[in-house]
Amino acid sequence: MRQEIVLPKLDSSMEEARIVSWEVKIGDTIKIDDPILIVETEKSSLEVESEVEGTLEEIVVDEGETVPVGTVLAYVSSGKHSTEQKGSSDHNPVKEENISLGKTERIRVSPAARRLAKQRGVDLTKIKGSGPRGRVILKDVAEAAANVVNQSVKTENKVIASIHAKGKRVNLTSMRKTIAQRMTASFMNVPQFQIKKRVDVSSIVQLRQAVVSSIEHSAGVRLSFNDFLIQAVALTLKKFPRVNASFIDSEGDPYILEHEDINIGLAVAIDDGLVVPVIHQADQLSLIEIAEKRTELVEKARKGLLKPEEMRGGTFTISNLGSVGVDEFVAIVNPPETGILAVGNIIEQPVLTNRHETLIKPMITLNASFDHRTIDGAYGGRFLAQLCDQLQSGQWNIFSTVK
Amino acid sequence: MMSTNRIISYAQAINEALKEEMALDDRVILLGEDIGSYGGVFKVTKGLFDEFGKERVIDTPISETGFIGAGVGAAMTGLKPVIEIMWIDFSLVAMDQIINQAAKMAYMSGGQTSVPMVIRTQGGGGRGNGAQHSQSLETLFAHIPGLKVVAPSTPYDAKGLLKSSIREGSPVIFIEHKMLYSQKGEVPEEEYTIPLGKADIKRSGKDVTIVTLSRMVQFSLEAAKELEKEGIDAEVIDLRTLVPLDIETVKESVKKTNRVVVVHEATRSYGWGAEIAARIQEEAFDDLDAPVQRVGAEDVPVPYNLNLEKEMLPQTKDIIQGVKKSLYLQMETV
Repeated sequence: MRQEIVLPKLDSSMEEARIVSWEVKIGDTIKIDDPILIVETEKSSLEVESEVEGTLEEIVVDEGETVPVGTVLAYVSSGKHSTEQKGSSDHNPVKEENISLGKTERIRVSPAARRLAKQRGVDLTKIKGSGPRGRVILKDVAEAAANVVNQSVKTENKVIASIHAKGKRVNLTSMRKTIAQRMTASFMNVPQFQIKKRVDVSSIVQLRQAVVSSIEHSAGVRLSFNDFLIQAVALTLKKFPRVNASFIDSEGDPYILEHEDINIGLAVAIDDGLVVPVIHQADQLSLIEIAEKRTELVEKARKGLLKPEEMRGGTFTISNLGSVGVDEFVAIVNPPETGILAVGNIIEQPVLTNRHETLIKPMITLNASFDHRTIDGAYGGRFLAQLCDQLQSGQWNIFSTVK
Repeated sequence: MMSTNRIISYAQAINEALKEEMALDDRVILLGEDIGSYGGVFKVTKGLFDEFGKERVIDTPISETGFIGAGVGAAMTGLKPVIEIMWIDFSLVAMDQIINQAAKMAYMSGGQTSVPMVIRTQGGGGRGNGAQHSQSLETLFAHIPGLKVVAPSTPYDAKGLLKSSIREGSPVIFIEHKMLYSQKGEVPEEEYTIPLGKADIKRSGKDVTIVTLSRMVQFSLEAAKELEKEGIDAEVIDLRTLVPLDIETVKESVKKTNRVVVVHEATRSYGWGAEIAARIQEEAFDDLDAPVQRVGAEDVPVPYNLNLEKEMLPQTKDIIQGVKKSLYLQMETV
């Protein structure tokens, strides 16, 4: 029997891949789980293991070509299956179809399981279904998603259940579940440290006051303090590539990925939840462009209209609780990002100058949290110091720059 | 909610509803076979003849077509007849009056007339009454636009729903169950009504939703009790009315359990279980983790022999099996 080797979906966001090299040649005998080729996706190079066994008969996609997930890459003639087939030929057409279509094209999934997998970012190709005919059901997806979260949480939940028996039970929205899961994963898996710094923002306050109404009049957008923060963080990240990075904990071979783009997420509180819309390539945007993008995204976030791509790809997050009157706070890193900046309210405070004069200045307190696997204290400290310099510099890209 | 723990039977509860509505509104009259001084074969109208007299509690000849037709006319001209058809199986001889006349008058007259009429009847098996006296025909009526269909499972529901049905202002087919008449339950002294089209969660659970009504509510609750021993937490929804259908309550439940078993005493094929299954897949597809299971009677006429009848009608064990199928605990052969 001739079987196909198809390009599998190796992670949830993978759409296509480039064939880097074939590790086997025509005539080779292949066993299940044998590495057969290396492909390169947007994110990384990966080894593809065989899901079939037999003799490699034909290679359809050559090295260097880029093809979408599910494309037939090669054919294998399967000694094993053909002998099996002889005994019971034509007996089970359904089963045979399954094999020839390959795992990536025909996965049986219950509707609810499919939805949950999408919500949790669980890769269905990696799950073994426990339902009839191998159907992936809710339980399978929930278990796969829960594996990310440490087991001890479950045990703890059991203990808590007895206390909860008398209180009001509030069922989780899917957003609440996602937050719980992601934040638990962050807290459990990411060793984090915090650095705090106070900074004088009088230059921003003055500049903003001077230009806000004329910009609103001419460009139709109202510049906020957050826009300055976003630009300052983006420009600082450019000088600190290791903060604009992710620690990838791939099994046995962890590495740090320094991102090419600087995409700033802004935490937005909504009803019983939180979303983080992302301003992509914020370092290349003017303050006005940032303000426009920010206004649009926040508006969409509050109405629940954000598209998935508008929440994807963040490389650093800013959370500003100034509007709720918080002096300062500490945030939890939003994986796979390395850093998050927690921003407090602007407060008029006495400041001692170099000449030992006391001046009243608008101050904010910044608390940055970092993934210690990616960077260390000194680097994080320098990042924060540079960010404060930027905030005090008066150097801003207010209007569109010529690119 | 209830101030007393008064326990009465399903038949008594219906009797009270009739009595109260007759006392409240003298347009309410009763028609039917042997409902007068005899008090009805299941004693539902007991005492009403003596209390309200032969003008308002009318014994009719054995002609369903005749007295349903009379009821339609009475309803169109200002009365509120509540008609008893002794066995639901006998309604079949009066189908023209029910389907072509009662259901359609308000529509065909452009709303110039209405038919505020209740047809009370009883159906279902369990007594070895044979194929012509044991049917569950609710789906026939539910299929006809213009008819409302009610099938209560408890004394409390029976009373509250019958009072609402009499006040509904349009034809209502009110289907009692012969095996429930002696069933007892709490019914408060004070007046209450239950709106049509509002399902009742008789047991809440998180693992699977059982959608049912009438006598199968009791069976489903028994099944849920058995399943609990195996760690399966079933929710039992009593639809109470098929028309109007409270699909929202069902959908809310499916959102929680992701699994549904529809249980009805009517034969399985083309029964209302198919309608529920269809609505769920249309409106709550993404909430499903398993195909909707149907538990119904075998597709044969109800046998006279009690043992065979039990084989044919859905039993608690069949519901348990349906639940297990929907939980994938019992794999279907494919």
